[in-house]
Amino acid sequence: MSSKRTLGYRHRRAALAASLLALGFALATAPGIVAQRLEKTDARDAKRFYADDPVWRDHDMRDIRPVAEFDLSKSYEFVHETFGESVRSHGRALNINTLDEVPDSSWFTNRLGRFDMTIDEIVQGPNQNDGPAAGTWLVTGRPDSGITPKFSIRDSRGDTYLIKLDPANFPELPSSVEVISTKIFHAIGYHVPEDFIVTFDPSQLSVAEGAQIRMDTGEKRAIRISDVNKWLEHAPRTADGRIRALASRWVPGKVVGQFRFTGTRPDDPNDIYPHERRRELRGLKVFAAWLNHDDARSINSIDSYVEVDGRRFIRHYLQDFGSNLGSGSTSAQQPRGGYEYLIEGDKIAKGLFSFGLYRRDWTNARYPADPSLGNIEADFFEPWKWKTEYPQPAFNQMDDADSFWAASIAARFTDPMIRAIAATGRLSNPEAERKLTDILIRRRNKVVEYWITKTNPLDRFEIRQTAAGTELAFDNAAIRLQLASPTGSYVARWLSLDNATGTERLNGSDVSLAGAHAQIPDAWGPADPAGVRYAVALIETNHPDFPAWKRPVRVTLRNRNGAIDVVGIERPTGAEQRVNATDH
Amino acid sequence: MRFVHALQSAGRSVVAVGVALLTFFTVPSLAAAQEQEAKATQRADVLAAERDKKATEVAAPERSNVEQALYWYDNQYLFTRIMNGWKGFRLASGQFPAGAGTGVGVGFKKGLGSPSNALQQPRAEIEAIAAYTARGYTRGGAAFTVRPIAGAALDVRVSGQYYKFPQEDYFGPGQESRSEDRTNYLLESHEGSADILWKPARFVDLGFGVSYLSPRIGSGTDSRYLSTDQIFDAKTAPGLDEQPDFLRGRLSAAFDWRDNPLHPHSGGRYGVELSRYRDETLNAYDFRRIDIDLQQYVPLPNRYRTIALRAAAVITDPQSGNDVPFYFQPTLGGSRMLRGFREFRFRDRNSLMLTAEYRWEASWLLDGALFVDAGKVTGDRSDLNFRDLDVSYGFGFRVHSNSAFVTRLDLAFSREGFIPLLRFEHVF
Repeated sequence: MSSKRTLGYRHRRAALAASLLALGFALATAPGIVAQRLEKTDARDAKRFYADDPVWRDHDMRDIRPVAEFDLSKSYEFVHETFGESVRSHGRALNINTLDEVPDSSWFTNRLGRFDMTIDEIVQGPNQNDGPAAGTWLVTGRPDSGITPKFSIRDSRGDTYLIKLDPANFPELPSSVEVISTKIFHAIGYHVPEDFIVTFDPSQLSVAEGAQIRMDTGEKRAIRISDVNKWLEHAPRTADGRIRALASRWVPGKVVGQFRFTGTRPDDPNDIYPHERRRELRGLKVFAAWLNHDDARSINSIDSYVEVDGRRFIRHYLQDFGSNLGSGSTSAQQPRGGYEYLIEGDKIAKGLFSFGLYRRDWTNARYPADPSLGNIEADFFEPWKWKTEYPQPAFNQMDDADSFWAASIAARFTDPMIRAIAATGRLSNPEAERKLTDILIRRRNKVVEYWITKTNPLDRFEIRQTAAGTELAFDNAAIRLQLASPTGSYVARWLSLDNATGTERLNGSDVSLAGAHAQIPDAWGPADPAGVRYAVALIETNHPDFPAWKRPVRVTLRNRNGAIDVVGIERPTGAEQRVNATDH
Repeated sequence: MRFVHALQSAGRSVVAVGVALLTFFTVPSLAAAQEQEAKATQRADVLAAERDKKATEVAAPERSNVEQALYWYDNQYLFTRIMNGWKGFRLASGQFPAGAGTGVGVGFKKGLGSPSNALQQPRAEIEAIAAYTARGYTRGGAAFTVRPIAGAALDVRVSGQYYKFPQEDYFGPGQESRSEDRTNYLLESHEGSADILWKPARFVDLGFGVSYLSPRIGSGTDSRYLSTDQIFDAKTAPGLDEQPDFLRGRLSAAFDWRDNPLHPHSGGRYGVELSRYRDETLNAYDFRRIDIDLQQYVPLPNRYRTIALRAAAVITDPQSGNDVPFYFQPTLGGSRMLRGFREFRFRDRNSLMLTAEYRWEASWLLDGALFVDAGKVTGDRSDLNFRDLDVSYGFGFRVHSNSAFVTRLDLAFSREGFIPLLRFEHVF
């Protein structure tokens, strides 16, 4: 018995030891795997570049199984972000390619930022047709989310639209800003609904069979035509008695909820980057500031399960821009909007205990008198002060690299483009349209100036062959956009890069450049198995007015058997100290 | 036993080995993923591997407990059900005077001829209310309203109500009444009314109404204080010993150009109401009454600070040989008038009250206020002047939405001490 017990113990101890060894191995290695999974950009000890870099398409539109609808709470995000902190992942954006750009994905499609667009293309925006077909519109329902008076219709083509009515005291305001916003967000690259400004005669409407309305008590009952007439009773009319409204076409696919601005959707295998580390969601703050999109929040997004070329996946939309610019959806924008969160304890305390002597500076802003413009202006607006209705986790993670990316896209909107976009709002008062155009242009100028000059603004890196050899040429976006005086100088520091290990070695000393170009020295690191070699240039900009530009842009060159290209651009985020090459 | 022990021992070994095997099979797969990543020559492969891995881990999204609770709240229409009711039924306050105690009430409102959630008020409406408080305050009533009449902004309302207020305070007549003389009495009444409200122009409100009132006075039920009839008599409390029925006619007019009546920052409201009370049974209490209420809101440089001014006066004029019953006399004190004094603290035939309030917006939902009130009651109309006014002062907080007032807390001081006043209504 003793020997049997001993044998049993031996078996168990051996198994236990094996288990512990295995667990220890797992614990020791698993975190490393996880850490390298998505944050390779930050890792210096790992392979930095792959043969297909830079990628311009993130293949997150792979076929996935159907997902269940999951609606977010309308109030949770406000409560959580106002009184808590939801961000778990901090650091540089993760979904960027090695050129510091955002690849096309189910979230974003590069348009104006990467390619030229005609004004016609921009004005067309996401729209695939001309809006609801003429004839009878069948009222199919009345969504109970949001505050804008609205109902859904099905036109004679079978397309479904959400009809959003303008408030009586602010005719044309929400409908115009919504259409204008979709044009801009679409040109930037976001997925947005197709929005149209329509006018219709109430006699066009009839109620679809089975259409229901949810009462204030939460109960549902059939919609009657008298309900519809009531909804329209206060809607502003055009001179010919028709009703002007916004028609927002149902997005394609099956709506499966909304996306959060933090974390990932656990039932979507394609969704691997924490949303607070998605460049296009962080950089959205720049565009939101431009357009005063203070209502940028999760419940104003759509996740739709779509099918494209036989693949089914979740596409992510921004929606509901009725509170943009000077609009507050059912009234003019609150003067606080864009300047102060709904709840800011310190400001409330100051306001209360100063007996009114503490004045928010935004109370000095002056707005146009025209009700079709609401409370929007460009004189008092300052990009760095701009805020959403409550803390927005992805916006709060925006770093200098994100904002430079976004501001570079904003800078691509020319004045004629903006003029044409403003015209899509179809304001009946030409003077109002002129004012709105002016405000849009000046706010665009402000966001571009602030966020382009906030960091070392070098861009347009390219390899050029000159008589003296091969050089790395670049441009200074701030100077090109006339945001800074054409003075200053550049200093380059070269390092060789072992791409397999990520090891960098200083090569030579700092080189003062004669202009926006640098001769490429023989600073190549060891060849990888494919025979490819890499070198890194750290380029500082010395400008008397912008000391922050001394933080270098890191540019990685790739040498494939003598064919050199720019494979990596890493902009300073604003969080790091000036890089000292001897640290490597 | 040995067999059992052997089985247990073998079982544990199997489990341990199983764990080991599982671990060894799992970890290599993770390691393989790492290796695959290291060997990958394409970034697309690395990302695809990530997505492959996540595909093995997909799970339904979940809500935290707090989110779950808020999601439930969002979709249960709890607030609207409480405020707007269910199938016409809703919670109702009973609109009792201050000091009525904690109560509960049920209201019913039903629109006729149009949906209950319409943007505009329904064409016709029936309302009913029943409310009761721990101190025995009771109210029950019903009303029927029709609007508009003949296409005009005209409301016709017919209503009836019964109420019983068993602990109403009475301190005696005049400004010199003493707080130590606090007594309480029962006020009970049946009332039937017909009213017409007409809004002929944007800023103008006109009203006409006829009511039949059957007030009755009894002993107060608040045992902390004497009943009014134990200290006062018909001379110091006219109408205490006998109460007639009244026919009351009233005319009112108001010019209201406040920017937002629910949360005004500018403009004003100037209202006057003329009432005639005709004693239907005793011919001893015929009187006329004039209520004047002037409100002005002066925005300081911007709309975030406001000076709110109010002057209110009530003048009663009994027919020759008649008197004004004490329970229909104007009062000062409480949350609406002369806030540093208790509700109904001063009472007489005439009253005058002046208020100045400095309000400032601390945030979009909270205002602060500093205020000073001054007022007096007089038995003789000729004494209705600005001399010897009682003064109260204090500070307060007003919680509101972007467009409407929600609640008001005032901390008021006077020669009789400090009173906190909480009201869930807009006063001025």
